[in-house]
Amino acid sequence: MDLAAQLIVSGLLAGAPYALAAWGMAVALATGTLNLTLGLFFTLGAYSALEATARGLPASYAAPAAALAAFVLGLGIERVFVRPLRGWPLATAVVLLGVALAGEYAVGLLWGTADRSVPLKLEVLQIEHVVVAGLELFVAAGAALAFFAVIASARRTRAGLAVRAAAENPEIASCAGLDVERLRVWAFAAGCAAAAAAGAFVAPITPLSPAMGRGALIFSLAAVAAGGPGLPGLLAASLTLGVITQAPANYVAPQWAVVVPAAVLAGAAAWRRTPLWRRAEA
Amino acid sequence: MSTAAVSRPVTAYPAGRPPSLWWAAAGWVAVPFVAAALGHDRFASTTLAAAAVQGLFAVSWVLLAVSGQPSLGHALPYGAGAYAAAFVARRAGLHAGDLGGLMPVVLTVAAAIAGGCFGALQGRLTRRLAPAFLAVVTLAMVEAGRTLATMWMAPVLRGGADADASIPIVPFPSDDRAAAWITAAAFGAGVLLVTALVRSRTGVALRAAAGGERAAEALGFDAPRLRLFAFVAAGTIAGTAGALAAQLSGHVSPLMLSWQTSLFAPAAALIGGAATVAGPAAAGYAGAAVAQFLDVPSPLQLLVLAAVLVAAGLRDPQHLFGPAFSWNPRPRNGP
Repeated sequence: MDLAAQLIVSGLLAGAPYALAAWGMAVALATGTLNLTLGLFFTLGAYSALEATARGLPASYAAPAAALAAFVLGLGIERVFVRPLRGWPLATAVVLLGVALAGEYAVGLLWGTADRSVPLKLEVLQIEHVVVAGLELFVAAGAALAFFAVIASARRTRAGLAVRAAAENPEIASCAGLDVERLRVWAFAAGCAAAAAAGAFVAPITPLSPAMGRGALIFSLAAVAAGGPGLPGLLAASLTLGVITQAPANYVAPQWAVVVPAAVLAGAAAWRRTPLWRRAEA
Repeated sequence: MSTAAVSRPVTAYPAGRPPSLWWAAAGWVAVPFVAAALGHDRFASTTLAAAAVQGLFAVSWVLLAVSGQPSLGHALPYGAGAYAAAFVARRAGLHAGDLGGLMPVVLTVAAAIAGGCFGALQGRLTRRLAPAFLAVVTLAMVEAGRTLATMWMAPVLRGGADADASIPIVPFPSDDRAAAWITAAAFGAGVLLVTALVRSRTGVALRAAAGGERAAEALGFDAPRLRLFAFVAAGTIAGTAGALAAQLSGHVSPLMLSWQTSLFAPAAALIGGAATVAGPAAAGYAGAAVAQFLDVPSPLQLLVLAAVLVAAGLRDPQHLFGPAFSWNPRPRNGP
C-alpha cells in the first residue's frame, strides 16, 4: 500500500512537466501541424538549465528564458519549414523530423554527446510513509504553475479563445474575421516554448543527452493520442502515463520510460477513433 | 461542356508500367556480382557485402512506398530478424558447422519469420492511420525496440553505449569473398522478388490500396488487408537482411534498431525514386558502400539522412515518398 502510494506520488510529480510538453504538441496539432521538433526544444530547454546553473544562476531561471528563446526560434522554423508545406502533413512532419535530427547533431557539437547533469540539491520530505524528493516537488510545482498559466491564457484571454476557435473550425474562424494563419504561427511557437520550459523543469531530475528529447516527443504524442486534444484529457493522460511509466522505470530499468509511452502511443493510435489521425477514405 | 474540361483520372501511381523496370532491375542484379568479381582484397569484399545487405534492406521498403505507407520504423523488422537469429543460435547452442552446415539457412529463415511477424505488428497497429501519423508511430515503435534490445543484454545499463549491449553470433561465411558473393545473390534475389511483386496483380492492388480505401474497394480490393500484406512482405525481406548483416559482422547490436538504420531505407527511396525498384536498390547499395568505404561516423550519417529528408520534403512535398516524387518537380499547385 505504501509502495503504491509512493509510486503514484512519484509518477504524478514526474508526469507534470511532460504534461506541459504534451500541451505543446496538442496545440500545434490542433492547428494542423505535427510538430516533431518538440523533442529538440525539450532538449534545448534542458541544456539551457545546465547553462544557467553553470553560470551560478538557479535552474528555475532557465525556464522562462528558454521558453522565450524557443518561441522566437519556433517562429523562425515555422516561417522557413512549416508555412511553405501547409496542407501537406506528411512532408511537414518529415521535414520537421529532419530539422530535429540536425538540431540534435548541433547540440552534440555544442555540449558533447556524453550524459550531463544539472546540479540542484534540495531537501527530502517525508509525508507519512511517502518520501518526496524536494527536487521532484520543485520540478512538479514549476511545471504545474506553467501548465495552469497555459490553461488560464487558453480559457480567459482573447488570444486563447481565438486559437481554440481556429483549431475547432478554421473556415468559420476566418469568416469571423480571425487571422487563422497568424494564429497557427503563434500556436506552433507557443508549443515550442512549452516544450522548452518543460525541458528546463525536467533537467535537474534527468540525465541530459542530445537525444533526450526523443523520449519527451514520444511521451507527448502518447499523451495526445490517449487523452485527446482537450486540456482535461491531456492532463489526465499525461499524469496517468507518468504514473505507469515511473513504476517500471524506477524499479526495473530506466529504459521503460521510453517503452511504455511508445506502447501507449501505438495502442491509442490503433484503437482510438481520432479523425485527425485516420487515413482519408478517398 | 468542352472535352478539355474533362480531366484525366488521377492515379496513385503513374499510369502504365515503366518499360525499363525489368532491364533496370536486371542491371542492378548484375552490379553486385560484377563488383564481387572485381573486389580482390578483404576491405573491398566486406564493403561490397555490407552494401549488398543494405541494398536488400532498402529495396524491401519499396513495398511500403507502393502501398502508400511511409514507415519510418523499418529498422524494427530488420533488427528483429537479427535478434531472432542471435536468439535461436544462443538457445539452441548452435556452433559453426552445426546442422550439416545448414545453420546459416536456419538462422536466416528464423529471422525472416521474425521480420514478417514484426512487420505484421506494425501493419496491424497502423493500417488505418494517416501517412504522417503512421510515420511517427512506426518511428516510436523502433525507438521502443532499440530500448528493449539494450535492456535484453544490459538490464540496468545507465548511460552506456549501445555497443556494450551487443550479442555475438557465429559469423558466416568465414571467407570474405564468399560473403560478397552470397550477399550479392541475396540482394539480386530481393530486387527480382520485389520487382515481380510490384509488377504482379498484387502490385496493382497495392497501388490501389495506396489511393484510398473506398477507391480500392470499388476495384474489388481489400485495402487494409493489402496494406498489412505489404508490411509483412517488406518485414520478411528486411528480417532476412538483418540476419545477413548480423552473421556478416558476427554480432547483433541495438544500433540495428536505431533511427539511423530506420531512415536509411526511406532516404534511399527518395534518392533513387520510389517509382522504380532499381532506383532505391541502387541508392541503398551505393550509399551504404560509400558510407562503409569512407567510414562515416554514425552521427554524421544521421545528419546526412536528415538533410535528405528536409531537402526532399521541401522540393516536392506533394509527392513525398510517392512514385511521382521528383527532385525537379513542376511548379506545384496548392493542396
